[in-house]
Amino acid sequence: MTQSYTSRLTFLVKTAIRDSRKNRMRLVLFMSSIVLGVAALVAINSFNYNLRNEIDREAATLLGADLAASGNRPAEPGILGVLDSLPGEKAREMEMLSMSYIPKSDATQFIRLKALEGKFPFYGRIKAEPVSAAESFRSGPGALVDESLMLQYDLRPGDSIKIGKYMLEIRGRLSGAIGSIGAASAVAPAVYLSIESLDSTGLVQPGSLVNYAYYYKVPPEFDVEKWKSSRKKLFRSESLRVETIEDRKDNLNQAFGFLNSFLNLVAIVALLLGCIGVASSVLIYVRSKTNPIALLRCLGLRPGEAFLVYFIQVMALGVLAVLVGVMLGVMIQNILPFLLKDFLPVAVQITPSLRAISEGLVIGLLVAGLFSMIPLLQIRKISPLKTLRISYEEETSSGTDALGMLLYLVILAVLVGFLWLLTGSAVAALIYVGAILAAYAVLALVSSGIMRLLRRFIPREAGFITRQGLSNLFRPDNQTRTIMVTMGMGTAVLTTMVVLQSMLLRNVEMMDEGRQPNMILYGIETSQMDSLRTVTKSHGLPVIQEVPIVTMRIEGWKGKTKAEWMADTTMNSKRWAANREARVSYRDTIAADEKLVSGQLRKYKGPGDTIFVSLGTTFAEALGVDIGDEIVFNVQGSRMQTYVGSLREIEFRNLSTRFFIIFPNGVLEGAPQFQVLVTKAPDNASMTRYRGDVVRRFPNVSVVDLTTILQSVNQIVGKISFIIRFMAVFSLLTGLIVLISSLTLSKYQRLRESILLRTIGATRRQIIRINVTEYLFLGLLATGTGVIISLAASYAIARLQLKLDFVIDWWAVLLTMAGLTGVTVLTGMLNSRDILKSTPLEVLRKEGV
Amino acid sequence: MGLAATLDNPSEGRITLMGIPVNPLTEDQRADLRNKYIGFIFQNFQLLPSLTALENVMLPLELHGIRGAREEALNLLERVGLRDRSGHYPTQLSGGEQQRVALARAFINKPRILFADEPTGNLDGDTGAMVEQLMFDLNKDFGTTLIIVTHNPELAAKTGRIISLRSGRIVGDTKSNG
Repeated sequence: MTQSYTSRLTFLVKTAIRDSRKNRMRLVLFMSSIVLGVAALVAINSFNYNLRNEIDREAATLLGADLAASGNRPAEPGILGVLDSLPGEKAREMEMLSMSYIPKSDATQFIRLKALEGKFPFYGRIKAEPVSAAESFRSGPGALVDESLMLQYDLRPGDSIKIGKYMLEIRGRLSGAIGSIGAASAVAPAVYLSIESLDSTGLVQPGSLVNYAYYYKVPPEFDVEKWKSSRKKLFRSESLRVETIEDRKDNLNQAFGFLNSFLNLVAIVALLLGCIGVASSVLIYVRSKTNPIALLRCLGLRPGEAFLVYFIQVMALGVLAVLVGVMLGVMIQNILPFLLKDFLPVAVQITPSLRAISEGLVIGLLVAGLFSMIPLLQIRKISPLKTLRISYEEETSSGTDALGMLLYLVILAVLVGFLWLLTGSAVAALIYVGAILAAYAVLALVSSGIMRLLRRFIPREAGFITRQGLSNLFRPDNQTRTIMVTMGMGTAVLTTMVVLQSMLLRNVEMMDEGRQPNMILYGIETSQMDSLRTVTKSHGLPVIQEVPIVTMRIEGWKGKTKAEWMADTTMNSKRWAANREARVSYRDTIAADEKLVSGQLRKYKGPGDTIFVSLGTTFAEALGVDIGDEIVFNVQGSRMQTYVGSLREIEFRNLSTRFFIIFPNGVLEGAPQFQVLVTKAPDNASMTRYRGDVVRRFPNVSVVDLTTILQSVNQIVGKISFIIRFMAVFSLLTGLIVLISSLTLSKYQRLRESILLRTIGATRRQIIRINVTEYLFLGLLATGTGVIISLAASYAIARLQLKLDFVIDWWAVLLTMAGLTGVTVLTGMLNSRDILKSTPLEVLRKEGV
Repeated sequence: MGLAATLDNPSEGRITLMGIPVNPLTEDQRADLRNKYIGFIFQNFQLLPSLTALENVMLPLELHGIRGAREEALNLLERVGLRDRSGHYPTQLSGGEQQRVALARAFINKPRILFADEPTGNLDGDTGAMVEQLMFDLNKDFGTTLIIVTHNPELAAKTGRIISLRSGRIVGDTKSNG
């Protein structure tokens, strides 16, 4: 051929445009897959990048200082001296949960107390109304009260609030605070006061759950990061958490890790479904184009050129779809911050993220190109002989040639790359791809197996309709495997999403079930116990549990002191385990929410006997000790040598008291301690009455109302689940496209058979019933296998990634399965409407049967 | 016919077309060979539904990268009496008209050999006769070797040589007065 490369290409483009004239609508499914997949990717990634940028920008304001040190007990004088040596300003904060009493409404309210000393925050400001209140609460008996609480009880500046034993004047309303992330403040409204005032409340007692924080602002030229890293060892050995602005950025990014990984999961789902959608919709298109392709080949078009004609068509529409997808994604991204605004510590500015847009463009084009190539490569094998013999079967259609293999390898590499980009982990990406391949293999195997079984075991006594319908599944030219794989994969991905979503909700609901206590009273002095018990009973409430608590610290374990362990670089104990101020209880029995996994609870027989303690498995693992190992405790000054006697597994979703360390009875009775009382109020009214009474009579006692916490958690979960559903709609839409595509695949095959049946006298009703039988069986089989795969996948994701209990909402699963099977049958029926509407002859002529 | 027209691969034996051994040719080389030397007419016309009559006729020349395809195609459409329908799509044409467009397409690259598979099999008597006549006329004008595959003895009788096949084997080879 003397023809130039460009004129040949021009011809191919021209042919591509001409050929597409009457068929552009046929590629709507293909385009929709890309539009939805790309839109989801762009929306989610844009939002994520914006959030990260915003967190970077706002980290200083969120921390409020250049360096913060915090812990659940006051800093030791030594370490405080080191911290205080920092140049610049300093401030102090104490934070705790407590009850408050509002005299104006005679109501009690669970609050989060934040007591400040110094000019904290150094960056950002406490938003108060009037503005002067942000300063005035710091002196005298003044408080700054969260606006939600002010609204709830119709409080105004000048009104009073009683916290513990102390009555404070409300100086203003708090409308925005530093370092408060929506979800955390939703648990209890915040009340700001001075540390001096907090001392006067009498709430801070040994054993009270107080968080201490020390804030520092250094001169701009001072390198606080360097200062901190040179004292790393020192801070490591203390139970203080030292945080700089840089650390806060990392922590915030981690805190949003769950949201991030969930959104990533949705993006991956949309992407995978998009890939399947692209491949199956283009396959349908290629099938419908067999005749024109065979003719073009007859007229002298080379196999590669025939491929190019359709590749040009598909890619032109693909590019258009990617652009539409990017635009849609940017639009949706504008909605996401609105949906998520309650959980974000910063107002996320909506700016289209160039990175997300370019990722969307590249990924969209790659998916469109690579996944459409899978079916398009078949074009090269369409024989020109098809023009003479319609039923001519290509000999080569079954095998995959070298080019096909190469394509699959490239696709695998690109998929790993995408997933790596999305999850940020090569291992995770490989696991995902491995799982996809495994799912593919399972579906292919099941379909082969079923075809084999049906061929052998179709009951002869079954009626003609059933036999005909089932036989369609293994007859030559059947689409059983293709449909099983595409539909099964689609179902698997979608159901995984549904199962995980319901599992998340169920795990939270489980907290609130059964006869669980809903009130915990902390900080009770031993001398108050009798009268508190009487008060509780007088309200008709049960004393479910009375627990003594002794605070102590770990001094050493397995023959070495803590300091020696800390200096030991081979130590693999977790810092939190070694450094915590341990709140220990004592008893000789196992609690209902515990399970003894090894050893046994050993009683203490009196002075001289060895003390055997029982540890929670998580704690024992974190500290690196096992049965028989020695642990030395410092119980408020006196040293106590103990040995690990047993290990317990503790159920942590249960909101009640639980202890990592349990001593036997008879050891700690004499040590300074406080008590905890656990009770359950049947309804809100009795809870309010009881709470009010306790707060009035025992101001030092903190009543933690678990119902409030549960309700807040439920609200948060409710909102999160709304977002989950909103995002799941994407996957659902793409999933539907995949479903319709895969079923349309079988349309051409069924068409010819049904026409012949009608020609020889089958009624419309019989044909419908044959089709329903086939599609119903296929639908049940594909969705059933998909569901089984999804259960395995969700089990893995729940246990390994989300660390949740594996609970299946069978109704959700059944509903999904029924819905998908229903849509299968319906789509199948819609596909055969051509046959039923027209006379056999019309179709025979059209199809050239 | 599939074998002779290079559409199929023989399981045994050799095929030589215009002195060119076909067996060793690649798919691309066969495609080029068809485009250059071979024309086709099918029983079911095989026009591309998304191309107009004119575009269908132009196709082989465009495929060959030859300029002036449009003029040539219009002339041929004129010849088959369909110039005024050149902008119509196949679905807007009758069976006879479609086969005439197919004839124009078959002759546009002045093929050395034209393969016709039951060219009038899908047409009624009168239309069939008209298409037949047109085919023989064009054949004469272009000096093409015309190979017709047919069950119709009357049509066969109009050719210069009849090779009879039964169950895939040649059972007769007679010269006629065509």
